Amino acid sequence: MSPRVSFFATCLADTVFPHIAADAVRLLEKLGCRVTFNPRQTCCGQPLANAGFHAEAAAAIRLQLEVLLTDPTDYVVCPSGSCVLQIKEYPKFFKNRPDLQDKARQLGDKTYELTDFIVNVLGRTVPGARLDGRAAYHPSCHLTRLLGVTKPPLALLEQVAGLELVDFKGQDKCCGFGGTFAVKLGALSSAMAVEKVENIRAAGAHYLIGADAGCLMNLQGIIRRKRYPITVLHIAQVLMAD
Amino acid sequence: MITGKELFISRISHGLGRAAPPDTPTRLVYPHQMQRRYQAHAAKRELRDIFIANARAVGIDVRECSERDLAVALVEIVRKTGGPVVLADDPLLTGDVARCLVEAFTECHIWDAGAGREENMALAEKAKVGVARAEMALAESATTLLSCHGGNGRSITLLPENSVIVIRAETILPRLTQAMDWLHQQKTLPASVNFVSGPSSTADIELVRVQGVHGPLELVYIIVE
Amino acid sequence: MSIKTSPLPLKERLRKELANPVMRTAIANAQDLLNAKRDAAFAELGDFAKWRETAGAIRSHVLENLDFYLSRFAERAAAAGAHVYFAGDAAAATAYGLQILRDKKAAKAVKSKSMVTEEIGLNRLLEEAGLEVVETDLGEYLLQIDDLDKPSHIVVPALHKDRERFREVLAAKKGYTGDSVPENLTRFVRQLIRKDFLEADVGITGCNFAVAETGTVTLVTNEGNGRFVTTAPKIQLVFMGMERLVPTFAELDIIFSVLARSAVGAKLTSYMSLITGPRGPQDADGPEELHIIIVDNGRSRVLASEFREVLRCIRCGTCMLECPAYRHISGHGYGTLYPGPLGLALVPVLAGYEDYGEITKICSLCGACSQVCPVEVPLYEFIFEHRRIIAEEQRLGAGENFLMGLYGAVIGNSKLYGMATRLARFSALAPRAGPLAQWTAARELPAIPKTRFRDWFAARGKKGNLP
Ligand code: SF4
Repeated sequence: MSPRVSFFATCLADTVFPHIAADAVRLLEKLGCRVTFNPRQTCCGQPLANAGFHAEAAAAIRLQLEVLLTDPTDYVVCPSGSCVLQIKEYPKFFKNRPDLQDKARQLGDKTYELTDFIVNVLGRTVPGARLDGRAAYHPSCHLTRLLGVTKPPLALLEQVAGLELVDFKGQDKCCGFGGTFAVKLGALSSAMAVEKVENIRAAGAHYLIGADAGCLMNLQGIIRRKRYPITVLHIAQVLMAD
Repeated sequence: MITGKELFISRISHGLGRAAPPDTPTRLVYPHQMQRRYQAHAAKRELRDIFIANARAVGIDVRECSERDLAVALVEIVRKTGGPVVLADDPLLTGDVARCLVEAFTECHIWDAGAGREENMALAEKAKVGVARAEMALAESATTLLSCHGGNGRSITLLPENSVIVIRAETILPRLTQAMDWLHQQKTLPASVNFVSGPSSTADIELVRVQGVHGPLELVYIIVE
Repeated sequence: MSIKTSPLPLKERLRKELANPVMRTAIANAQDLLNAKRDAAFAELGDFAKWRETAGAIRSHVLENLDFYLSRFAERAAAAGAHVYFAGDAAAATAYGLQILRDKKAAKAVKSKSMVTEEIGLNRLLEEAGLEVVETDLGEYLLQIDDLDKPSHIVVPALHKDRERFREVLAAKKGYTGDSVPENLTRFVRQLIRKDFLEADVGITGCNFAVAETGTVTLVTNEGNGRFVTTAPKIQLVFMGMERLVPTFAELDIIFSVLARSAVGAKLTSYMSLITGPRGPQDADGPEELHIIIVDNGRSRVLASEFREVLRCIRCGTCMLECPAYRHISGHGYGTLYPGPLGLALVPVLAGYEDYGEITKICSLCGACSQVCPVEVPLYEFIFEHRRIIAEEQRLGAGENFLMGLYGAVIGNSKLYGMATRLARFSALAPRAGPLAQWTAARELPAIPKTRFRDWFAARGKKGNLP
């Protein structure tokens, strides 16, 4: 039986990077999943929660909880570790509502980040992907440190024909995005991003690949401003490239 | 003498949700005992080799000799550094060793606790070399434990530019854990116990390691059988 | 000094530090070097997870029984001949200290590095009372003579300066005529301070950890100044934060074993001094009197709060070394004595949201600090929680409250979200002001396409591709 997947697109991919979300859906389908997308979904609420606005995030959290649990699917899959982290933390927002906390836990249990899902749930690699050149992989903080998904993206990228992964200095350091941090303390945030980009450039990478559109948007902003010849790609795009 | 305790402690008790301190603390359960596994079954010789290797790695000059040759070893060291020498008042040092040093050099003083602070410290301040015996040594960190009281004044291993610490080979133990066990067993503690794990050093300027800040510039360990 | 180390507002502090290339290079190098040394030291030790779990359990146990262990420590220290004073706040702590020094007619004090004396502003008060105070840690000494510059790190205080600056300061203030080779600078200071050590009537120290069972206070240093300060002067004053205790020597073993590795990547520091009471009747050197001043200064408030476990902190400084934000602004950017992740977690509850809530903004929530803290302080969670409280108490500006409320309303409702995201692509026409200006100062904004993912998904049954 092919697994039924409810796709959580994230607000950022939905509006700013639709091609990333589209490639993620195609990828899941290519691997034999039946993908549904519930159009009532909006945003996981993380930007608000991380800035401290838990009350303001409450409505969005309840909405996703309801929407994502209504679909009769086996899994919820999302192309962003950061948003998955937020969903997995939903129980924290219902300390006084055991009923909702239970539901939140249910949702958390069935929710996976895209690469984690492919490698650890489907037990699959992605055949036929090809991208020629040197690539730097940015391990996003929430994905690697807080969700503990370190190997799956690398395992998948290693299978991509023509792709050479290069290590770079400060690879595991934060890119400086941090949601509202990037606009509240923009100068500090961009100092962090600039250092990262310079290190990627020094490693001679043609591509910057990541698994989180937020970090990629941040780093791409620097790369474009500096007009560096580095193409920024989400891992879903890479795995669908041929 | 204790001043101001009641109110201070009661504020803490309140913060912890009680009116007063409990009669006994809750039980502290160690989730692991990894510290006891370090070289737990190593032979004495192995511990000694580890100790020596680790000491040399941090810039400590390590020598080995029999108890009989200790005087010779010290004379050799002092020949390079020059005197005067200040010795801890310890049976290992005050007999032969002191005699040989006096023969070879004019000035060699034994710490005389009875003589008072100014005199002893002035001698230590003038000395080029200070020699003391360690209670024990720790292989993992190349550490020596100095019980600084009575004849083993604190200044002996602090004021002179060169510090020589004599270690009995059989007192080399695996790590800090064993030293803490030993301290725990002491009925009374000396006012000053010092662990020495290397020469005085700093990295405060651009993280460049410089040996010799306030304490000795050079540290020598002599292991005696 | 006190907890506040800069009068400048947050954004100006950051601007100033970001514009300081000497500091930024120095801190980045220090992070890279010390983090590699730390990782190597723990790799050699093995079982890092077990060590930090054990160290964390010990610290947590002490906090849970702090009233008991403090009482016991005071009794045992007094039995060993020390005078023990409990000071509720900075004023009480400094008053005790001043009183003792006045009674003894002290004229000159040598100090070894201590955070808590900085926290209570001791030096300034002593100097106002006519005492000469000499910091003896090399880094602290150079900050002191550089017109009281502030430390930028809690372990290596002058991390932000380069050797050239050290040379200039020593030349200008102390008549140094040599070059800027660290070894030569160090030798020069050694000679200067040696005199101070031998002249001083008082030694002032902090306390890394006190042992409750025996009334022992401990000091760890590499330079040997900790030993000096507790050997030469006739009077010793120890200031200790009230949480800096372990039950017995067995726990001291664990804490010291992780402290040196976390702080500087060494197995142990060169010197660890364990001091139990003043010198004994058979001792010729060492202090005749030992005074221990135990300081609360907000700590009992922390203990009673949901942030209790931040008091586990052993002041190793490694969370700062790991922090990507600290990397670019150093301790000075925070404007607080305790900077970095520790500062964000501790200072708002130690000294109040009113003055210090704002520093919790200096964090991208990357989680790196929590992973390296040797006593498992939940730094990430605490920073997250502080932000919740700050927003809930309406301490953020009206503009931010409004925007966040609006955002929450939009994403909380499918229809509003649908409308807003359809309009999003016109944001490119919006003026580059407010939050957007912060973004676009260094970065390009992505172009927002006409078709959203949801539109594509709905339409793909018919067409199948993104335009
Ligand atoms: S919070 Fe943890 S990592 Fe940071 S200084 Fe304290 S003990 Fe070290």
